[in-house]
Amino acid sequence: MKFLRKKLPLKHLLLTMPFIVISFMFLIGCNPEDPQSTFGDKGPIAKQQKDLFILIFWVAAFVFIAVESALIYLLVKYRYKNNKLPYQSHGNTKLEIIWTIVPAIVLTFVAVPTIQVIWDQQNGVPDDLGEPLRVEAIGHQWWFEFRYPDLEIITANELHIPINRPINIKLQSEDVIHSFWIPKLGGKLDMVPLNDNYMWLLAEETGIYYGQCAEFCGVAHALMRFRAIAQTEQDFETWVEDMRTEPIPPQSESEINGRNLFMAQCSMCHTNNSYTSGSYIREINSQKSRWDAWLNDIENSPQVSAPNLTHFGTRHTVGAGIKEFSKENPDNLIKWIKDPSSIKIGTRMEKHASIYKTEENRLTDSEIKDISNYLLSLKPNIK
Amino acid sequence: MTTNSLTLARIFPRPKSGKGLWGWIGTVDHKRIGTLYGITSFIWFLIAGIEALLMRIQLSDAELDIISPDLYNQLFTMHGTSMVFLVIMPLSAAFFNWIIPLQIGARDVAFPRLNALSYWIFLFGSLLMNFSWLIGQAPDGGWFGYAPNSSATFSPGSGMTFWIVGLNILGVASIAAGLNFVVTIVNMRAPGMTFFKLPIFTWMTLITSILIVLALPVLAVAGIQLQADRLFGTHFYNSLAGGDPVLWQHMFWLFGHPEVYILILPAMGIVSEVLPTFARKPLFGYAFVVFAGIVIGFLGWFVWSHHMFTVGLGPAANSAFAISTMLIGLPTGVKIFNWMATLWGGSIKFTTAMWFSVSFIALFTIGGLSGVMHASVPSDTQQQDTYFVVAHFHYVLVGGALMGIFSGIYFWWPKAYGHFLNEKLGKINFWLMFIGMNLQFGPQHWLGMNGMPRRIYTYAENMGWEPSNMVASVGGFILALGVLVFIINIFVSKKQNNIASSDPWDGRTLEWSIPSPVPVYNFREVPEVKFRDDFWFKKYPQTIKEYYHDFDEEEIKNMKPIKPDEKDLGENHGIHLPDLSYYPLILAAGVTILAVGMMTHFSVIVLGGIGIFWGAIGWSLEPVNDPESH
Repeated sequence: MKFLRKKLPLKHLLLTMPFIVISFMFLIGCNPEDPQSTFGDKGPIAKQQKDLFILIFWVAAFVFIAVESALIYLLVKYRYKNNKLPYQSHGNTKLEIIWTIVPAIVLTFVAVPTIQVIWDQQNGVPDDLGEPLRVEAIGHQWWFEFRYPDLEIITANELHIPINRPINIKLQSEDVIHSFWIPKLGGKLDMVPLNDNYMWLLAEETGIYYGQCAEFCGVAHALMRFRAIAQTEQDFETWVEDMRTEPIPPQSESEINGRNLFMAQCSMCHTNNSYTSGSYIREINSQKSRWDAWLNDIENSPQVSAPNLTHFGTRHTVGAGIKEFSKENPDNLIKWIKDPSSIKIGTRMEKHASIYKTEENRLTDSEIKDISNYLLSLKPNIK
Repeated sequence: MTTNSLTLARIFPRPKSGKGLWGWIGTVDHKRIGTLYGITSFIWFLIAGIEALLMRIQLSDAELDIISPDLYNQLFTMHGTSMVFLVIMPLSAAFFNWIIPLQIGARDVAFPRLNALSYWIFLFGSLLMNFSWLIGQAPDGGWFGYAPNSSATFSPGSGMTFWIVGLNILGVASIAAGLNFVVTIVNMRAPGMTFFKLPIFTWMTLITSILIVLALPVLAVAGIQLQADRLFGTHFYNSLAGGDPVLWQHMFWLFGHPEVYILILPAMGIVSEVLPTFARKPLFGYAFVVFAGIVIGFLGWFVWSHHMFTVGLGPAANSAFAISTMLIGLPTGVKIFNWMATLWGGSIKFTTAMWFSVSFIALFTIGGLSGVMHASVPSDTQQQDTYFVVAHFHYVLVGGALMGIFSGIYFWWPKAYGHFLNEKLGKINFWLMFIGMNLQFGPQHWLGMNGMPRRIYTYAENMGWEPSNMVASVGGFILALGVLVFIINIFVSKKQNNIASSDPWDGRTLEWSIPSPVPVYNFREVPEVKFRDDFWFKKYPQTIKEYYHDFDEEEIKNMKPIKPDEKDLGENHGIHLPDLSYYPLILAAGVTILAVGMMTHFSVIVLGGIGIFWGAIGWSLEPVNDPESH
């Protein structure tokens, strides 16, 4: 065989090229400013996780460089030169024991901090951080419901939290398994039906943090997102007060018309008045009965689980964190009401609400505009 | 005495010669079954690869609308399921079939007809599962089929039914094949071949087969339960009726983690044959490599919950599984170090097979290290279900298992088919695959760290994920180009017909002592084994002392270096071989029809039952050789 007799030219050192390319790409890839970068940590949980990752990364990088360069060295040094048979060594027990024990020692440097951080993070909120805020996050196909049981507030897809206060989150799911993840605040934990989970997070800086469902949950899994809005303690208190304040009544003719349309077409699934006392438990019960209605008639139920829209005018996104809108630029909101699946495929609203079922029920563009105006007007009436 | 079977057999007369299509359909020859496994799984490999490319097209930029979310979910479900059950496992089975009897000096596997049955069930099961594409309802619940998303409520179409019924059928094939190879390796070794003289590939096959026999039944139990949930309304995993979705995850990963080692151990075995051959040195620390394999096979049972670090099992369970997962890195590390020590002091020839094996070490190291990263639970909660995990297991399964399998293909091709694969095209094939896979899966590490979840069909524009995804997609097509070059190579090489001798690589184990291509009877005489790497030391008796320090010098002096057998005895070899049989095919068809019946109509179940009954009764009454043939 001719090719067997060829010597190995040093150009085979090109083997190293991909690794150089990879390291370079790694350098350009870590931008902590990206909305879901795990390197852009904004709280102690995410920071501890990042620090642990970086520790292991350097250990791994050391092993990686040692192994790959030794491999390249061996390939170059012991390449075929002549037909002399190499020494038929059977091995070296001492060496082999060494390279069993040394990695074991290296691994303890990874194992010890790992176990420490597990117990730091997964064993409840530490006592010295102050009184935690209790939140219940519930996964629905394909949106997030947030309840504040101590404050009796219910909202959806936008989680308001105060900074520098631990948030104790109870994770539940109504239907399939979802996973609750705000990369900049901490790692994920699954929302498993019939198996409630608890996690705690703490944000150290104000800001809007992106969250996303991380467990495959069906057709719109990619579009099940949310935002966490971290505010100062004072701003958070204001938000709590706002959520208990009645909304500004509709002013313009369009808003009034929008309210009438909303009451007729949307309100059996979307509650928008959870600011009164007692509305918290009422909404929990309504949400339950909507779910039961859907289970009873998955094809044609007139009711489905739906996000609470109280003070919707203060929100930033529609479709569970998918598209942004504002009073000045409500295009995405209008598009969402008109043709939900153009923004989010598989949405239950489109399948079950009567306005999408037949042509004669379909809303006109001006009616959609009215509903949009009404929803945008839903803001607390602050005197 | 055999009138009954003969009556049945007359409906389809028992095939007499191995010639023609009927010879292949009735074959019980391990080599032919190996080739059938190879061709079938390679076709599924191409299909699953196209599924991957479609996904890479959809993800190459933000907010693309090329593939619908529905189709995307079907694509990743079928890509994963196919690559595991229809590609890597059966490609490994192709090697078990081809190589094991040759390495242990046997004429066939222990149960040749059972072997044929395994293949036919595998073929029908894989066809059934992929038939779902044709009716437009491919499985869409992920290769892990998590409850309750896989339940009839949340996956109402027939996709997940195809998935679970298909898996249950494939499980039967795997368990039968696993048992067959355990018995073959334990019982059919040539005289003198003690366990510690077994070639490493045979050892890894033994461990893999034991894992298959123990792990696949776990999936079978879970699968039957899920099938009952879907078809008969039971509530094992249906959380809407109080069933436990976490139990499904435990069952699935209790199978699923040993499965990871079922996928990688055969490739490790291949690499352990290729490296010593082209370094022209024995494997460094044979015993350590064997024990490392056994320890991996054992510890593989104690790490399953690391797939469930974000399920909320609590800090105690998470700590325990973090430690066990790190522990399994040790025997894996031992293997890598021993392979490198095998190169040390060697005389390395860079054939295509060698390049693939060397890249196995290089790439598997990356996958192993990112695996250790996942073992650190708190850090893993940021990586779980992101592209970091996708990158990790593709480095293990493409960089590891697939590179190992390609190494094996280039290594044993001349033995199997009598001619070399073209080395020039082979090198192009290798470098395209090597560069392509690094471009594809390398950037996915930081996509994951940058917060991109798995199994999403699209992503927003402002996330910073576009460049890496584009690179990954380009890499995917380069990898595919490499595979295309391999296919071209098969045809070019067949045309060039560069004839291989019995021992083209200066091999070390028994399969290189017999003619290429392997005669139908394998060994003219069953060999007597004296050494590890028996063939090598009999070729080069002067090197025995270097390996066996205490070996008697006198005896070495009296040993004459042996030469490989170059002569195929042809048709009239006069060696007793089992006759062909149709019953495995009939039984396999019966099993498949019965399974289809569960999805369709009771009458079809009866039809399948008849097939099973016919196949089983005919089989058990059929003699190994028909009386009139002697």
